[in-house]
Amino acid sequence: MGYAAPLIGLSFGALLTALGLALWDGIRPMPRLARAIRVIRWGIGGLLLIAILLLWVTGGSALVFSLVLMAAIAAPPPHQRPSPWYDANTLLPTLVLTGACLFLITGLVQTRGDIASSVSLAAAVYGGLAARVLGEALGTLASPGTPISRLFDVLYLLLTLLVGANALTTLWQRGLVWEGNPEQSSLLGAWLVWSAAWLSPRERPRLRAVLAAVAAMQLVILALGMG
Amino acid sequence: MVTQTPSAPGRRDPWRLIWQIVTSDSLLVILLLAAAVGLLIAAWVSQAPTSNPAAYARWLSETQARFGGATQTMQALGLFGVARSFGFRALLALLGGILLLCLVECGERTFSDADRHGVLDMFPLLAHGGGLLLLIGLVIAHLWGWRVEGLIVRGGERTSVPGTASWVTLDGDTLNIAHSAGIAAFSEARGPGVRINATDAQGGPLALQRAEDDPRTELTLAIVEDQLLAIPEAQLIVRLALQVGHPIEAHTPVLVQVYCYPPVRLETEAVVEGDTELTVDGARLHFTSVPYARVTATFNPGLWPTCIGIALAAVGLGGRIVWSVRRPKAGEEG
Repeated sequence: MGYAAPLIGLSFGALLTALGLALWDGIRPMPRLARAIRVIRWGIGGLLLIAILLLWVTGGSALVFSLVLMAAIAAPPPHQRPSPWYDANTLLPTLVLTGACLFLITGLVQTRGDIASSVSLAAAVYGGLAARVLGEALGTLASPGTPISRLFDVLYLLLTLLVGANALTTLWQRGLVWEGNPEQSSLLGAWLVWSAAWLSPRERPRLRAVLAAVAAMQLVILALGMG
Repeated sequence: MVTQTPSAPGRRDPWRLIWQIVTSDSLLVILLLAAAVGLLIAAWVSQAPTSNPAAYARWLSETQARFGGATQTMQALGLFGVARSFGFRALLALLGGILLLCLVECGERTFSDADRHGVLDMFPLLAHGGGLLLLIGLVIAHLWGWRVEGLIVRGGERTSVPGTASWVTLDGDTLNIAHSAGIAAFSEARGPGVRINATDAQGGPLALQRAEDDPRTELTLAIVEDQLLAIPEAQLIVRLALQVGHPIEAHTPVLVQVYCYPPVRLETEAVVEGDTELTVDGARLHFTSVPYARVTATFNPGLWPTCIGIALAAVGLGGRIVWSVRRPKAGEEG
């Protein structure tokens, strides 16, 4: 974990810089700041990707690995940038994930467990995509005219298939659709909130964004719990 | 065929208004959110077990340690049994009713509209119909199904499920569960067990006696906890216990202690792993490892409606989502 720590620290610093630039652009618009923020975000994604490879090779906590993987997926900029405030809000999930990772690798909280199994890897990828949706939902709250991207629909489709497969498997193996264990309840709860967000009227983008943010945050927490 | 009664100008039909509200996506959103809140409470707050008093007592002490004085209030609010609460069941019933009305609305729109889009119009029908079928399956399971937890099944024996005609067996070698038709049986945990028989110096069988049972020449015990049995003819007491520090698995070694009486004194002890034979005061004790499984057996008569409902709902929802992703951005509708 020692070789990855400087990269994670650098990424966190770059994220703070990008956030600062986005806020500056919102207060006092300047040309080319948007492009600079995009370049920084891609750079952060690259740094975190290298950190992931280093963590994989050197071994370490599965939770830290999941956090870095999620942050790397959420880091790159979205396709649209209707306003600097949108940009700033989409940075927040990546910032929190990277910050949590830094907090863990400084040893203040003991983590254990080898690098992730395939299930928790898949969960981390899913969590990263959910973090991107969370960022877009937060951005929509700042710029209500901007719809959440198709990633929201794609993740909902994947979540529906996952929940459906989980329900069928549980039903076949144990004779019940819902056993009541916390993981299954969380997954089902997240799917219900996501369904509510998907069904909510598009004419009320803030409501849709709030529900999408809640659902995405649940998925991120669930994915971290599996890490 | 939809027929419309012409209403007075400026006067809205209240029944049409109520129909629009109950079949709207907004009401569905509210119900889904309410159900989500219930499930998330169930995920965060450990739910009270109903399987046996020992598990309930253990849960209660853990919950009181976690929530302290708020435990009674939370219990009164039904937070420790969300799925069993009247409120949650009423919510599901309401959701079922709304899905039925939505299904009627979708069907009316699909089959009466001349400007049809073919298979695309079937997706909402499938989604609503599948959801409704799933809820019907849950009701059937609740009313006519049963679930038995903590059933101890010893290797090589057929164990009847109490109060039913069903049975469960455990293969002693492969540790696979087999069961009668129509039920689902799942092994929650496995542990060590021992088959014991005893013979005297002439090779004649000795009776084995447990406190609650009649004497037998052979006993098979699941070492769920310390087990004691007596061999009165040889004046021996045998204690079987799990070894401290070993994980509890199917082939965990079992500690065997043999006491003679009177007075009670430890004659010998050994660790049983596979087949073991001990000789104490002329009596030969044969121990054979026979693992057990703690099984949960479930009978769900609503299994097929639930399965079909899930499949239909997934196809319907999936189709709607794919259609919403692929449609052009201009002129898109919810």
